[in-house]
Amino acid sequence: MSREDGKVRNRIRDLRIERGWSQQDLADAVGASRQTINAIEQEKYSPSLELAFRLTRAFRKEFEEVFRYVRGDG
Amino acid sequence: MSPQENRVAAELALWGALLLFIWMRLTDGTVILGQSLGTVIVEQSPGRLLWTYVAAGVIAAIGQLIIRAVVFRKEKDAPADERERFIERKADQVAYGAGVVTVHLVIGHVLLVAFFDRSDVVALDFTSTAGILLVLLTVLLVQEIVRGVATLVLYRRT
Repeated sequence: MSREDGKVRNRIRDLRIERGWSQQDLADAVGASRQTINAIEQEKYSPSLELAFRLTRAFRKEFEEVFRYVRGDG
Repeated sequence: MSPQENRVAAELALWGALLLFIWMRLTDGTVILGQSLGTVIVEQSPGRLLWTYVAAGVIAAIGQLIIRAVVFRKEKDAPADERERFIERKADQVAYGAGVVTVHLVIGHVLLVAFFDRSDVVALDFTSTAGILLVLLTVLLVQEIVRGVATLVLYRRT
């Protein structure tokens, strides 16, 4: 079985801006630092499952409305 | 820079200063800031070596206390989150690798000198207490410096 390369993409920045929240507001809501939220928005850092679910709940969305897995260079 | 990055940068400066202090105390060569620093290990009395070791420990402890308790006390209010812990773990791995590489470099150096009788290479004298102290403290400090640099790079990249 070959290993599949992919990337986790997210809509956190769009959803946060839609709600008029600052990065600090979101960070406080999910128990992370502002720098971590920034790194996740820039897709430099993939959050743990726990943090990903906390983010999803903060936006009151389904998991796949916030995060998606993109194969290869997609 | 975040408070965590500031703390790491300050600690990096502390470890660099401590490395300079130890090399100034235990080696001879070029004179810098009134102290001799070079590649020749200077044999010293046990009391003087103990003083150097204790002084290095006291400088490290006081330096860290100042950095953690006074300069960046705000950091205490914000516990590290998962990304910071991830960066710490990665930096620990890099530092461990650097420690292993440094020890192998020392072994390689010792074997090179022993096998090939390379008198043009500066020899670490392991029959000298000062030489052993210098090498061990240097390996420890190189590890800390690599850990700090790796942490700062990872904060930028991750």
